[in-house]
Amino acid sequence: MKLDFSILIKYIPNFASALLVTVEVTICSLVLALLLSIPLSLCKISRSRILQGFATFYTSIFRGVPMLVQVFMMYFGIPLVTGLKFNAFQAGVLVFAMNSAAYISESMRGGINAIDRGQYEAAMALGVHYGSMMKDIILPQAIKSILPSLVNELIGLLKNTTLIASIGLVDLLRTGQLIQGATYRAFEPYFAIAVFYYILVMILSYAGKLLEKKVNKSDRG
Amino acid sequence: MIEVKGLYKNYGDLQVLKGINLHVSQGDIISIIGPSGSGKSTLLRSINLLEKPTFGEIWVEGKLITPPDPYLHFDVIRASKTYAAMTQQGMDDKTAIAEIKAKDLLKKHEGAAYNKLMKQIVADHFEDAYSVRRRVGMVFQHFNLFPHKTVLENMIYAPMKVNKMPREQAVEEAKQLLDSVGLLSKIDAYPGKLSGGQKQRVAIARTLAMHPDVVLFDEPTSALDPEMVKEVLDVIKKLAQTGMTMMLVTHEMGFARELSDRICFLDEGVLIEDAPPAEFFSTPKSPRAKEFLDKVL
Repeated sequence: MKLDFSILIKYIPNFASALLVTVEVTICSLVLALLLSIPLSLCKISRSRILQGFATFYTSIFRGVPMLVQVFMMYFGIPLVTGLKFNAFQAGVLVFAMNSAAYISESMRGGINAIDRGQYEAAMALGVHYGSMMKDIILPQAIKSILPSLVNELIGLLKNTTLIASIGLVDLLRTGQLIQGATYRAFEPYFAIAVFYYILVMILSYAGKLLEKKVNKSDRG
Repeated sequence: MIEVKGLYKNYGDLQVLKGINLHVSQGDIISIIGPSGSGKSTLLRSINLLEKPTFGEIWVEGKLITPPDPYLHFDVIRASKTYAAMTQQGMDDKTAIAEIKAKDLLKKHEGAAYNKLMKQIVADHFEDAYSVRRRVGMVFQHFNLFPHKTVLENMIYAPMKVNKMPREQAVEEAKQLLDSVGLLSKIDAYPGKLSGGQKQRVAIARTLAMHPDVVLFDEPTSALDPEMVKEVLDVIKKLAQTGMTMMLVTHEMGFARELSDRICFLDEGVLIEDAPPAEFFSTPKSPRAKEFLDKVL
C-alpha cells in the first residue's frame, strides 16, 4: 500500500481543533488534580485516623479500577443514579483529575515527609499558623522536590486523555478515528496524531526541565 | 518573666524531665548546661511549646502557656471528688493533699466544682501557643532557615505574616538587623550560599525581627565549624548587652561563665544546681556537677 499524506491536508482544521481539545482537557485536569492533591496529601499526613482512612480509601479506589471503567462510570453510570449530568468534557476532566490527584497526593506525601522537622519547628517558633506554614514553607519545598515525578504524572495524564475519545469527545485520537472512517486509511491519520502527542510530550518535559532549573536556583552556590 | 513549675516530660516510659522548677527574671541570662541526654534541650523547647509537658506548668510574663496542672493548685485538689472521699474517711487536709499528689490520684472526672475551677484558671490565665511563640524567640542548633527563601524573605516572612507588619517597615527593620549582625551584603542570597556561621547569624536576626521578649538558644554553636563559633558568640554577646532576656543551652563553658547571670546544671532530668557562674564554676556543690566540670574544663 502506498502512503499518501496529502489526504490529511483537508483535515488540518480538524487536527487544530482536536489539538485544542486535548490541550484543554489536559490543562483543566492538571489544575484540578493539583488542587485536589493538596488537601488529599494533607489528609494522608494528618493525625486524624478518619482523614487518613478517607485519603487511603480514595487512592485505592482510583488506583484499583481501570481508568476506562471510571470514565464510563462517570459518563454513563453516575448520571443514572444521581441525576447529575456531565457532558463528555466534564466527565473526562473529573476522572482524569481525580485519578491524577490520587497519584500526585501519594508522591506529595512523600515530599512532605522528607522535609526536615526543623522547618516546621522554625515556622512554629516564629508563631506561624498551620495553614500558612504548609502553604508558604512546607508545600513549596515539597513540590519542588517532587517536581520531576509531577512532570511524569502530567505526561501520563496527557496520554491518558485519549480515553475521552471513548465517550465521544473529538480529541486528537477521535479525530484520527473519524478520518480513518472517512478515508479508509489508517496509517496516515494515526501517524499524524502520534506525532502530535509526541511533540506535546516533548514540550511538556522541556517545560518541566526549565521549571526545575528555575526553582532550583536557591540551591546553587 | 518565665516560671517553670514542677515540669515533667515523659516519652513513653522514659522520663526526660523530672520536676523542674525554674525562675527567670526580666533581663536574666541563664545558661543551661549538663551532660548530653540530661534534658537541657527538652526544657528549653518546652518554654515555647515545641515540647508539650507531661505534668507541670510554664508561665511566661504572667500567662499560663501549658494546660493547668491540678496538682499545683491546692484549691483544685480540694474541689475534687477524690479529696472529698478521702477526707470523709477521716483523713486530714494535709495528708490527703500529699497523698493525692504523691500517688497521682486525680482522675479524668472529678466533679463539677473541680471542672469549674480548672476552667476558671484557663479563662483567667491561659494563652495559646501561637501568641506565646510570637513573644518567645528561638534559635536552633541547625539554624532552620527556609532554604527556598532569600535572606530578606526569611527575615520579613513572619513579621509580615504573623505580626501583620507592612512590608516596607519589615524590610527596613530586616536591613537594620542584618547590618547589626554584619550580613547586610547577603540580603538577597539564598541560605544555601551562606556559611554555617552566617546562617546562624541570619537565624538570630530572623528571630529578633519578631521583637521577642525572650530568646531561647538551643546549642547555637554546636553545629558550627570551630572557626565560626566566635562570630556567632559575638552576636549573642552583643544581644546580651542590650538587656535581652535569654536562656541558652550550650557547651561553651567559657562563654556561659562570662555571659550568664546564672548557670543551671541539669543531670538526668533534674535541675541539680542553679547558681551564679562564679560560684558554680569555682565551688560546685554537687558531686555530679564536679564530675561534669572535671570532664569539660
